[in-house]
Amino acid sequence: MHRRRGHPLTRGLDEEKYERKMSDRVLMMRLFSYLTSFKFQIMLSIFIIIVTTITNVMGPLILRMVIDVYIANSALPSQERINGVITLVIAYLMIQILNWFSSREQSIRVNRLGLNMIWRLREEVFRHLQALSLKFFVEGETGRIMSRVTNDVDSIQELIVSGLVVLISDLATVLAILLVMFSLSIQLSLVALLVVPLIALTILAFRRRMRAAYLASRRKIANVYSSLQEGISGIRVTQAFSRESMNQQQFGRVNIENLEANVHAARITSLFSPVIELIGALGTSLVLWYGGIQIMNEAVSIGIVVAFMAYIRMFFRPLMSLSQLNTIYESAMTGMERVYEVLDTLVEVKLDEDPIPLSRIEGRVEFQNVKFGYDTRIPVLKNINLKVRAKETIAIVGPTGAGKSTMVNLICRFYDPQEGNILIDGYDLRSISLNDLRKQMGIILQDPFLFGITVRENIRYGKLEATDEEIEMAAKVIGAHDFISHLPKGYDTIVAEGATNLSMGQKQLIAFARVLVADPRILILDEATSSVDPYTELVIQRALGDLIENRTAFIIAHRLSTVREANRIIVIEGGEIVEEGSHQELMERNGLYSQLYQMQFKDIEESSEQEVTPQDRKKL
Amino acid sequence: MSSFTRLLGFLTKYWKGTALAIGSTVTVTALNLLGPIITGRIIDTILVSPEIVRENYNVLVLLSASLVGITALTGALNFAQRYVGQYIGQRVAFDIRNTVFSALQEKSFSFYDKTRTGELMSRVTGDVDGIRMFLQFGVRMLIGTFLGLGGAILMMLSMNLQLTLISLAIFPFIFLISIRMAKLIRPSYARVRQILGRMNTVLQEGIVGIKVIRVFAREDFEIERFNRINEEYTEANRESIRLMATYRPLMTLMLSIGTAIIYIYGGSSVISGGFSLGSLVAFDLFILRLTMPMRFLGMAISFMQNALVGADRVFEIIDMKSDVEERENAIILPSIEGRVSFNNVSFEYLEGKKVLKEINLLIKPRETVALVGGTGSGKSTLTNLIPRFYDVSEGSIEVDGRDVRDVTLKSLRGQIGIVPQETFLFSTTIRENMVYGKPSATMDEVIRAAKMAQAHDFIESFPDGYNTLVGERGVTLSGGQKQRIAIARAILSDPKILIFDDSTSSVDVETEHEIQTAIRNLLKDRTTFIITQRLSTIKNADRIVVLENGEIIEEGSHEELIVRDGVYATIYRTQYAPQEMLVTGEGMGGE
Repeated sequence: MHRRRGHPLTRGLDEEKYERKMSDRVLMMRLFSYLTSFKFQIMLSIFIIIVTTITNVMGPLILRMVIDVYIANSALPSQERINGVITLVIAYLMIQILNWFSSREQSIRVNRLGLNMIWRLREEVFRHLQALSLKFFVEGETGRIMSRVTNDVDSIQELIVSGLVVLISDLATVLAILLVMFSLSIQLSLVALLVVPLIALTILAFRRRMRAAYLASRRKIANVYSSLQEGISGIRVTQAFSRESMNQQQFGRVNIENLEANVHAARITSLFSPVIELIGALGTSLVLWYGGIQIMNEAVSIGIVVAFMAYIRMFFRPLMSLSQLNTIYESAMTGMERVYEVLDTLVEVKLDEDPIPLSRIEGRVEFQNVKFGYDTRIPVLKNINLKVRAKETIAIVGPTGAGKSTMVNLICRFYDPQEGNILIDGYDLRSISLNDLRKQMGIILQDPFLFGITVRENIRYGKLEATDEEIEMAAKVIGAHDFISHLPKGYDTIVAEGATNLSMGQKQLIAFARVLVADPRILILDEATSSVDPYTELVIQRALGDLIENRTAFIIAHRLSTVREANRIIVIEGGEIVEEGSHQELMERNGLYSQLYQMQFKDIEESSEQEVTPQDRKKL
Repeated sequence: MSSFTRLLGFLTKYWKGTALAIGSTVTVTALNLLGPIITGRIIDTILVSPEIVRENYNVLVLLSASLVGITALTGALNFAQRYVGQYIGQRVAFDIRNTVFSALQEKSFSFYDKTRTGELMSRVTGDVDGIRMFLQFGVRMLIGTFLGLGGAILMMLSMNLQLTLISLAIFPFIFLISIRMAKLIRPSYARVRQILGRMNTVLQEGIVGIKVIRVFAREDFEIERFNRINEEYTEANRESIRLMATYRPLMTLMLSIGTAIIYIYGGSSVISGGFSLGSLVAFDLFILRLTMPMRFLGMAISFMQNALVGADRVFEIIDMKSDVEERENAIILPSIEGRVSFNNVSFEYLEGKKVLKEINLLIKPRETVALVGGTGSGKSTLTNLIPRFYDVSEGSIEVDGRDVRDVTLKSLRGQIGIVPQETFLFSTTIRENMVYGKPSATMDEVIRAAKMAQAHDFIESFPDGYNTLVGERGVTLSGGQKQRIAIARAILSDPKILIFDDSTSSVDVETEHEIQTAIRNLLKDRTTFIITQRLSTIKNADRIVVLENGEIIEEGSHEELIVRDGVYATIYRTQYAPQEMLVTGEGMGGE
């Protein structure tokens, strides 16, 4: 069984070929919509920004006055001039202190808003991920999904935190400066602004190349990271086959590609600032030269010229930092779009607006004419009709791909059928509260997943309010108590990542305990003993009787010996129920079930040829 | 040796580039000092009054033009400085990444048992990046700052001693602020990173364990859990920002105080006639020139802090001692026959907890040994010791009479084949995965191995056949298919000793047959240790070893153990016999 390469949602999001579809404005608007509840904060921040800008701009103005009115003015008496200087300079200092205070506040508050936005965004993404249907996860690659939620959100955060404050205050400052400059001398302002078109052109010319180089380097670093991840995840295989040096070479190759891409990008970006600075110097020179002419014509004072020089500096600095924001901006926009693609993924299993709450169910399950396929064009289940009584044990058998696990997925409502209904205690599955239902269902999968928390907490996951006694009781019933007590820290031992400090059998036993603690009305065992060793299987089988007592149980197993005890056995083939009945009934019928059963023990038969007696041998 | 010194060590390879970058920085700084002087000159000699401007118009033009010229020169050097800086930063990052990768490859299994992938990734990516940023920008900033400072002060001193001294009064404060800022920011950054690592773990579990979460309807619980750590992360970020927001503008304030002092004192001097206006403006420009370096000083210091935190963490990984190390004089293990002996072997994962107790086993070449035992009995551990994925705590293991600790790891592992419990395939083609143990294998050998592993048919059913991509970016294979590829991989490398962990029999009845055949082919002609539940394999094994609590309680062939009527016999009867009874017809219908 194999599927087409890639996941529908991630195919387009491949690092290599990503093309932006959403406009910048749309993306930003969505992002900023998180801030609607912070209106007061925003107002306050705007006010503070205005104060900071004004105090920024006033500095040179005051100093200009100091020069013109007092220092350069030989008309007034010396003492008066000196006093005047002192007064004005003290005023200047006051303003600067105010500036420090308000720019600090500005930085904190605006960043706080930004962080809030990101916080909300992250939360929403995680929440949405929890609501998405399993299909997204089954086919999607963990690494990529992680990348959306971490890297992409991070690049948005980087834009907001390092970009936002700078952007807003710089824009405000530029505006204020322009205002002041024009009020001092229109002609001089115009001359000073002559270089602005030059700067704009430079930025445009560089921008495209810088973006391309940047994207290229991002692609390469992604390769480095994924090669690294594999190197770490596959370390046991690597060491088993002594492939360390070859892996090293391979890693070295992607590493070099990354280096080259980055050096290429460096060439471009390193050129950028010096060019801009050159243009800035041109501006200053123009001001000095033209300023001189204006002084010659007695149109401006020297104080104004000095002030202008200060303002030009204050003017160009924001322009420079704005252009450096470009790369951060680009990557943030890309990140934003990818994050929104995830958020916009429709939740396939739509929850009813007003679900019927479910009290303790009896456990009756019914399939009515159910038709379903993961791909709507290819049905896996064609026409399933089944009535399960409360507390009945149903075993589901059949060849691979016949639809066994699918049936169970539908009962859990991981997917909805395309046609037909599934009823629990007579209620349509789609109309009841999923939360209530799942709390009364327990499922054991073939591959137990445990969280990186203590054994106790893992078992408690089945019922958050469970007491320690209940937890130990569940462990005892299933037969896990012994080995857990022998772990280094007993129940408080932390399960390592990937649960490598426990064997498969031990993990499965803990998973069983987890389900037991939840005391479900419907229990599903999907190949629950396929991965464990005979000892553990024996342990589980001994407890199985207790497990399925008083509950409705669905057992899917390859090992037909487990299945014999069921009240009823369902045989599925080609998406339909072809046989139904108890073990004896089906063996007598000599149909598919009987065939499967005997095939399973052909090997034992073959290996027990050793036990064939000499007489039998003569007959052969 | 401190992390800082070790980092510098990485630089020595690029001393030429570093010298060039530093040289450019020095020159640029020097040239930058000329700017204020020329401006000051212009103001003094030309702009003071309209008449003087008229007289010296040509000089004005000349001086203005020279400003541009100097900037052009500075620009060229600036480019050199930046480019070389970036180049070096990238190259050192490249070197460090290679070093860390190779260090990671050598770490023993117990290292990986203790660490989380997310954490390791964070170190090699984020931390190395921090180092790179520092080398790229920080060094240049640091040098530029100190030189710029020094040069400006010298210039100022040559213009007016007293004014210089007075205005320099602010610098001790600036220095103190820088230090304080640095001391607070480094731990703040480290904290942010650490919480990020935790958040990523929670995230990873929320994604990988989605089925469990969904099944237990614990979405709210998980969301709550995530929110808690999201909150913590945001808070830590807020704290960092608050620190930066407080200290950075403080520098600017200090310089404003400097400006104030200059204008008052210098202004008075100009008024009383000891000082020129142009010099005053130049002085102010110098102080301004000091602003840039000051601001950069703050940034440079935070880059440095970041880099040092990163370097600490990176070196921690590189330095971590591997449990399993090759001896200095390890010999190469020659081609073996496949005799394995365990001599009084004991093993404990952690202090005091013995997983294996005094194991003694003598395995002859080409023997198939089936290891049977309950959960935690020590089967996997026993097999992990042979290729030295872990070392014994007591006793010794010998292959063909040689202690495994005396030979090189490569020669040892090269002759041992492993089919692990869970098959890990790399993101490459099926063929590449299969030849992993023997890259020089021909296509014929590959196909032959695949046929023996009963994998050839399903591989050919893919459109790309052996070139089909698997792993994260490729097709998803079923458990049985993966296992057969792993078996083919092992067959291909044709080891004399094979360790086969077959505890996962996750296949349906039909493929069961194929796997049986594949296994039979695999076990021929080599010494095999197999952990399995397949009855036929166990029965066919030359020897069955029953483990319980780390000790061998029974040993022998299937027939011998049945006769002995011990633990093995009991399991056999309760697990398998009922199935057998059915096949042979006994007991059927009578239940």
